[in-house]
Amino acid sequence: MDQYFKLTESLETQSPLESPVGQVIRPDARLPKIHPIVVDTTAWNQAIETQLPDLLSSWKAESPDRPPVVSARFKGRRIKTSSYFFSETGPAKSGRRSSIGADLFDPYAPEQPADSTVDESKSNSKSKENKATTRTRMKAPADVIKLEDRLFYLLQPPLENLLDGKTMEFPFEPFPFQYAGIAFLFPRNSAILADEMGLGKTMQTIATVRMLLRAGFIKSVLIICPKPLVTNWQREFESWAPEITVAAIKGNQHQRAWHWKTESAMVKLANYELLTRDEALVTAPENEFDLVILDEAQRIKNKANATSQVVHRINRKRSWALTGTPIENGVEDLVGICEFAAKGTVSSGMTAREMRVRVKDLILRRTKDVVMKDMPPRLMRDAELELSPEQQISYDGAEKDGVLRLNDMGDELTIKHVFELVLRLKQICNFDPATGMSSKIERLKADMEEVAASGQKAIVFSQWVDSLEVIGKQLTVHRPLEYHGRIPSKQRDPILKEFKENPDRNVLLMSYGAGAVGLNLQFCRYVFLFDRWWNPAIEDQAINRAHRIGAAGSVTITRMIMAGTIEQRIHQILEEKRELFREILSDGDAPARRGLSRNEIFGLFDLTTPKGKITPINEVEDELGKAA
Amino acid sequence: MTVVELPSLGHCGGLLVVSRIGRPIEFHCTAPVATNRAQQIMYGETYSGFLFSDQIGMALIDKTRERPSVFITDCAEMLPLTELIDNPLVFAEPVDSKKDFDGSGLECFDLSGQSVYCVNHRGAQATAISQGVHEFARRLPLDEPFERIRQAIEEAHSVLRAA
Repeated sequence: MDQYFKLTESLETQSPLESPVGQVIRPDARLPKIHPIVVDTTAWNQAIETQLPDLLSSWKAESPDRPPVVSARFKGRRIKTSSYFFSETGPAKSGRRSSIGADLFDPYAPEQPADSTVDESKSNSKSKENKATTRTRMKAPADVIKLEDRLFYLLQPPLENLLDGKTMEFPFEPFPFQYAGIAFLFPRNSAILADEMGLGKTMQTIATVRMLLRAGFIKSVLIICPKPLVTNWQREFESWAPEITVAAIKGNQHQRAWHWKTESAMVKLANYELLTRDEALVTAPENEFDLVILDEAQRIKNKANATSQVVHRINRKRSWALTGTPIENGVEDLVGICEFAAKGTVSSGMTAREMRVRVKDLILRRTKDVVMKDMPPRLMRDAELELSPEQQISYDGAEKDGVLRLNDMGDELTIKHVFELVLRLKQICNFDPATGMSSKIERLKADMEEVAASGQKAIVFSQWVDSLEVIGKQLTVHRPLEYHGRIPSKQRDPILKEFKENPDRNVLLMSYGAGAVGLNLQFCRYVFLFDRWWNPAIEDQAINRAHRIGAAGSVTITRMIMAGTIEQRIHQILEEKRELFREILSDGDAPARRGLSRNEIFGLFDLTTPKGKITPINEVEDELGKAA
Repeated sequence: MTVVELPSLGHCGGLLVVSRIGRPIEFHCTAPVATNRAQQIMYGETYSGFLFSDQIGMALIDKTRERPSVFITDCAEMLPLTELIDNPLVFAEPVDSKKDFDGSGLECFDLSGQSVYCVNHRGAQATAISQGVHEFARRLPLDEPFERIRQAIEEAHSVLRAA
């Protein structure tokens, strides 16, 4: 800079920043006859605007032939700069790189040679288009305070480039919203991934775990899921992270103890059912996990239950919860899940509006209608059927007697008594107890004829295994397969395989409890809800076994509702529950609305709310779910 | 390396040193530099070159630990830096640029529809630079790291403002 603008050499060593504004230098007479005024550039404005005339008038020129000269020296200001240095695991301490053990975030790692043939074959035109237009960036969560840490995430290349197949291979190119899910999970110690069923929560989680493991951010992972889903997780790991070692904790007490204590696999898979049995082992101080993931985390919505208690006590650094239904019944469900993922974020008694603000940075929720606009449609049809004459007689009698009995109970009446009547009436809606007649089964048989004739497959859901067994006998022509709580775990995977691969097997009979979560049955085009579950979230989970990524075409869902019965009244309440769900998890500013209240439950039979303690609905529901 | 204008604060420079595959190694950013009226008068049309190159650019480059094989900027005003540094510097003209850039005297090559300029005074070096930039762009679009710099500058200033 100086070479261009240095107008005087006389004060080379003096920093312009140190020069007081308008300083007048008066050298002796033998020095250069120019009397310089040195001003720094920032003071120049002041010099020319206000002080210059005075300064000039105060000078004494040595020679009348030479006019005084004003000199300005533009050395430029020192500009304050902030610097950040990065290693593969975050901001480098003291500006030094830490050892390079992993290659994902190692900026110095050599690039693996690109195999253009493989890339071409694995990328369809759509994914290439996505890649060209989408840049998914990681963003530090709100609880990351240090600027260096925030910049570390922000300055990473887009995930599409990080995971472009040269350093990690995936079975298929993730969708843009799945990249966004990975970008959400990666930097978070506490997270709830609450995508709608079928959007690939498992895949997003595994891809993120793989990145974290390879980057050296984490070394040990514990995944807890419902027992039937353990094999599903293993399969998904084989597809999405084949180099990651995964061990399922199973066997007798000694074998499990060995797994907990000495198993060296990077990822351990445990089911909820064994947690309480292995409480001492899983919560032992020496058993610390870098990351604990709860799949179907709604299992711990009740803070007081034994499983929740154990889960909360597991030593861990990161806590992620996966659930498609963080709110099944009410806001308390979310409080229970947050107790694990981010304790203290929300508490009982908060309004839905308050809760939405508090969990904004914690939860990521996407729905198919928003992110999968090109996904095959989900066609809902409510089949409103009339009770058969036999059913009608039984129904009327049971309802009349039941309501009379409830009214007679007075203050003894609890919500449990009401539910017993509800169950009884719902069973009659399925089959007449005396004759076995059923309008629903007649309709189902007719529909199944069409399904089978078109070479398609269907899933029939019911709350009761007994009902499923009766349905099975009625549909023998279709050689139905059954998947429910009475089927031993070992037989379940072969049943699903048979259903998928055998073209003569057109129908699978499933209970909501056993078949609602984690199963990929996207080859089915038809779903029948033979009876209605207690909340819409469970129904949605069931529907989404078929309507998920990879669905070959539209999925038709038939909800069987008996007109003028308890089923129709429950249907109205279920729709109101959906509103509650949307209220907390949507971005919109929806008006506050109440969910299912006790008054509404009692209102099913025009009963008045009795005084005294009433069992909360979700506890009753849990009991009913277990029974199913 | 780029310069962004922060409303009411001035110009802020950002330099991101990345590996060949785009991963961050270093990030440097300057404090906002307010326009100096006196300098504007003295430098005239060369003012933005002085501010972007001599002041902001050099302040950033002085801080680097790694010596990048090539500096890439999307600010044409940073091209005078070529006279001040030993490393090659190229200007990747933003695809959506509304300014008319006069690239006369500069070596220009096309990169997937984007014009990239480098000073030709180093002769055969321009060809090598072009190859290097092409190689880099094969992995990462050339405009992508500038998005990161801009977001990082924004983040840094929002955090500092809040502090």
